Order: sequence, then structure tokens, then C-alpha cells
Amino acid sequence: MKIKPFWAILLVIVLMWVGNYIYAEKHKLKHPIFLNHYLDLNADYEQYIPFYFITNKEDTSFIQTVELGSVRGMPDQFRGDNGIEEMEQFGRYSLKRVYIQFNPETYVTSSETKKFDKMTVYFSENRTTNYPIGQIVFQPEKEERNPLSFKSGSSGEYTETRLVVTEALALESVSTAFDDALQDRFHIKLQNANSNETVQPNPVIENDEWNKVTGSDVREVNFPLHLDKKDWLTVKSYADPSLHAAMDVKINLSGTTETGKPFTAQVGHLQYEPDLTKDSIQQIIDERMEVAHHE
Amino acid sequence: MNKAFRLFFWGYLFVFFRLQIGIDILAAPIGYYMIYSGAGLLAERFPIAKKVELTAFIGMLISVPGVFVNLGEVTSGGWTLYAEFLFVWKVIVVYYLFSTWKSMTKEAGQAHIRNRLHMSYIWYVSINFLMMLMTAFSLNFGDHSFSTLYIAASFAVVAMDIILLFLIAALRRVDWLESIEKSSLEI
Repeated sequence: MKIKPFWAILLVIVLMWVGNYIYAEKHKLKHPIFLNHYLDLNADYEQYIPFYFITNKEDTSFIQTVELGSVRGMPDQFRGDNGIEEMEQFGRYSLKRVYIQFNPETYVTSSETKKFDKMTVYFSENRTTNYPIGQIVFQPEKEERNPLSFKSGSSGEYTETRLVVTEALALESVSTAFDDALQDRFHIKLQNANSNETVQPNPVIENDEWNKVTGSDVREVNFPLHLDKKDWLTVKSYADPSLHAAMDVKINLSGTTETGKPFTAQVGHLQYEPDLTKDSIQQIIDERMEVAHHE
Repeated sequence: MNKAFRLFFWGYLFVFFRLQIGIDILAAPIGYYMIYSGAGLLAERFPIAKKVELTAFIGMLISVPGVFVNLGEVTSGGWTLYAEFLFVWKVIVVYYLFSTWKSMTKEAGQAHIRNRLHMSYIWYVSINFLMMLMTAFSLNFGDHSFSTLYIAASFAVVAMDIILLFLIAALRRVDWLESIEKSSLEI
């Protein structure tokens, strides 16, 4: 009996359906996955912070409230659907964003610095509540003298901030709140009148542009670095794209002025909305799953 | 004969259109019942119409839940699977309808109708098969180019539904009695 092509093709299509369904089920996320966020936030005032997370395509749940320790945050309901904005679709998953309003001054006393690597998120349709989110720090604003005055800044492949010295100083250290977490994946270079050379100890793979940027990697600089009034200092920073993270990192430049007073100047590295591809999404998911298995 | 096509026309209109006022007023089960009735009128002379009767009857039963749930807006896995199953079933019913019409047009003077039938059949089934494939892959794909293709396929499906209605209307105007009599005279 000759099998009519109609039925044969229909059968093939049904098989494709089954195949896709099985694949989708196999790769289904049990709960949303948050990207890493390295955020250095001020504990003294209200702010809106974007958080990026990955969900299954068909997930329509929204966020009711979040908690970072005792600091509570509420999603900005005016954006997207109940606060959730879908940024892009990657195969079986969606990348979403939610802006959370924090009023940390209500919860954090002015002298404390609080660091969190997990956030409690109450979704409308998920049981899981604790989500690793990278590292978030709430710091009280320090009223400190700042002998480095901001002149100009730019950002692109890397971030660059140019400062001018208003009071002769000795720069003793350059650090961030996330040094151990970011280690070799966040690079800082300093450039000033005395060192107009490029010292790049370990060439950063994949980014030739950073390798060629003038300046000395902070790990190679001989501290203390003495600067006179009217000298300029350029701070350049670059985050390895493999971090796939949202970043609001403050680079602390600490030292002592000529008159003996200590200071800490801050320069920002802002990079929200990481550049993502289907592969990087899969990487992020795999990394989180691996950690989950080891816990 | 023409009554049968009238039933097919309105039946298919009810099956393919949705007019959601609380519930689907142009309810699919009613449409399938009409197709079933139409096929019943032809079954004695054209046995293949019995397949239409059977599949339309089943269609009538399985499409009942769809009246109360707006299948255009569901997101749960279960309902999307059900909606897709209804879609496939509709295509199967149409397949048997085409088979019935083809068996009705075996006459010498009906070559142009047969051609039109064949072309419509190929187009209808191809576009609907394409849509089924796209729905299958939409589970795991969803970027811009895919979405654009999906929307285009959706429009094409609606176009095919409308073309089918026009075809049924045209078939209804054929003088069936004359051609059937002709064929019985030739036996």
C-alpha cells in the first residue's frame, strides 16, 4: 500500500514536535538565574538599580519584593510588565531586567559597610528565594577631602577618567571593594606625566586594544606614587567580557596628602547591561548550575 | 450537493474564525457539526466523505474546551499543546474534504476545477505544514528573524483559510446535478 505523502510529512512534523518538546523540557530552568552584579552603592539615599536575570521563555512571573540582608527593595512597577522588561530572547531563554528601588538609609546605620552575595527575591511563581547575584556593597558616603579633581571621562571598550591634582599627594594604593572576587578579570592602569609608557605584565588575552593602552597596570606600579599640584593622573579600567556582569565599581585611590592628611578619591567604572550572546547565556547558566551542585 | 457546500462553507468559517465575546461565539464545535452534516449528504454517493464525517465529528467533540479558553492568549504548556493538536486536526479534516471534492470531479469537462483543487490543496497543506514546523521550533527559538518568519507564516495561514472559503464558494456554484447525471449516463 502506497503511503500518501500527506501522512508521511505529517508524521515527520509530529516527530519534530516531540523532539523540540523533549529538548525544551531537558533545558528548562528550574528557577530564574541572575547575572553577576558587582555594585558599589551609596547607603545614604534612595536609588534604582537594574538587575539582569535569565528565565525560561514561557516564564511570566514577576517580582514582588527583594531583600539584601535587611535592606528591602521594591520593583519599579512603571517599567515593562509589572516591572519586568524582556531585553532579548536567546533560544529557549529570555534575558530580563527589573529596576529595584532601594532605600538603604532606612536599614543601614551610617557607619556600616554591608556586603551581599545573595539576594532574596520573591517571585510571583517561584518557590526558590535565594539567588546568587555577584557582590553588592552598601557603603556610607565618606566626607573626605579629595585632592584629585575630576577633569573628564569616557567609556567604550574600557573606561577612562582624567583627574587633576589640587594638592600635592602620595598615592599609596588603588583598590576596589571586589578585588578578591574580580582578581585577574578586572584591570586598572594608571597614566601620569612621569610614566608615559605602557607596562602590561600579563597581556590580556582577547583584547589587543587594552594591551596597547598607555599606562601601567596597578600591580606593577611602585607605590607610593608622588604627584604635585597641577599634575594629571588618568585612571583606566577594563573588565574582562567573560565576567558577563553588570558593574558599578568604585575604584578607590587612597593615600596621604603633602600635609599628612589621608584621602580616598573615587573613580567609577560603570558598565550596565553586559554584551551577551547565546553562548554566554549558556555559560552563565552552566556556571551557576555547577556552583549549585557543589553547595 | 450545493446544500452540502453551503454547510462546508459556513462550517469552515466557524472553525477558522474566532469571535471572542466572553466565549468564542463562532464556536468551532458548531462548525465541525456543519461540516459533518454536509459530508453526510455526500457519503452515499462518495464513500470517501465518510472519512470527513468521522473526523469532523471527532473535531466537534475535541474542540469544545477551546470555546471557553482563549487559545490565542495561553502560555501554559498543556494548553499550547492542545491548541496545536486542534490545528493539526483541522488540517486532517480539510485533507479529507479535498479528497471528497477530488472524487466528485472525475468528469472529463471538469479539468479546470480539478486543477484548481489540486493547486489549492498543495498550497493549503504546504503553508499549514510550514506553520506546524514553525510552532514546533518556536519552543526553542525566538530571535528577531524567527519571529518575523513566524508572523509571516501566520499571515499565510490566514490567507489560505480565506482562499479555501473562496474555493468552497466556487465549488458550490458548480452544477453538480448535471455533471453527476452525465457520469451516470456514461456508465
